Amino acid sequence: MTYNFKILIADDDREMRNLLRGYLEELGCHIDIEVENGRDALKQVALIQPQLAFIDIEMPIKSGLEVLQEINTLSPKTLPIIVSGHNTIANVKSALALGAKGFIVKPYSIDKIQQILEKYAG
Amino acid sequence: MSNILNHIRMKKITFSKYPRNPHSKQMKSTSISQTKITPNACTLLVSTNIETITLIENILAERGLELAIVNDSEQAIELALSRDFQIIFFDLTIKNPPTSAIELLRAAGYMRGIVGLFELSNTDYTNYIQAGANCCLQLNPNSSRLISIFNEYLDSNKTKPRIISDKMKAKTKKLAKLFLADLPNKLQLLNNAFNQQDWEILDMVSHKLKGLGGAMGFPEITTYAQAINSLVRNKQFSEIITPLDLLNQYSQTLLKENKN
Repeated sequence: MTYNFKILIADDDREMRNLLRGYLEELGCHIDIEVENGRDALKQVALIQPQLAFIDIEMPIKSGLEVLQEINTLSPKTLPIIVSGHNTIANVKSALALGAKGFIVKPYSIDKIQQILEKYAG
Repeated sequence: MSNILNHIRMKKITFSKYPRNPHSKQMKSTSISQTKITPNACTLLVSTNIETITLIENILAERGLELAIVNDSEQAIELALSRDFQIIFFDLTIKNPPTSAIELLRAAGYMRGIVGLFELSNTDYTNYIQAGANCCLQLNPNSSRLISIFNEYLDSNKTKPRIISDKMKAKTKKLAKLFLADLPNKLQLLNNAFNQQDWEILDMVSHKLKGLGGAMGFPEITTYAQAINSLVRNKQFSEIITPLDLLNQYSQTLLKENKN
């Protein structure tokens, strides 16, 4: 199955970006853009209007949570998916309250990514 | 002994099984408060009821499958988001009924099975279905419905290992090789930061290693880095040396094994 999403990846860690790109490509997605900080994430979200944005919480310049606060205004159709190393309830609740449409905990498997794609493909 | 180090050990221990067999028809309310987190479990049970635990554990054991057990909804959310479970059973009689936990899991993207278990046939479970549970059922040792749920969720292709393409295998191998090549630098940063008591750097590097280790196929690195990261954030600096030593030892062995 291939998923026809326009996708943005925002993570300051190149290795994590490469891994997520690998998983998404394995699942039949094409990645439109990768950025390494929150400011560039917002810039690119406004520009390419992706359907899915995988956003790390801990990023320089602007954090993932700060990105969430602005993303809906810049691109209402973008579904922000938070990627974080911290799976505490407080973190999950904050992200969802700010409009995240998914929460993936690092280290994650390809199955977690597929569940998100399945959720929004239908 | 700190909770963190207990946590490290927990991950390595195979817990002793709960007493098997008490297939009494009447479900008693014997309550326990224990967690059991085995690495290969594909089913999570949120319950404190020993009979419920025994019943489900026995059904899974007959299929050669393992069960993870937690005793409250918050633990369940944290574990379900970190691991790949095919099905989660929420005992609806636990202290804080799990409607909001089910809603939160669904909102966070957990798309696999969620089943509510209850004791009395007149339990109003509409709320649980509305929250996102796939179904609710009255727990009964002879329940054919329970067996059919296991058949639906565990005997399907979902529990078979995913077939990964050769391209992805090659890519993962390449990424793991790059990760190992840079591991000595990250360890040096980590050790220097610890020796210089630079907690900010220690926090940053341990956080990165926590996310990367498991993703690259080295879950032990995630376990030790997670312990370090948690201790730094809780300002328990004097305890960092133990998981740091374990991380150094494990990494040296790993690097030696992968030298060629």
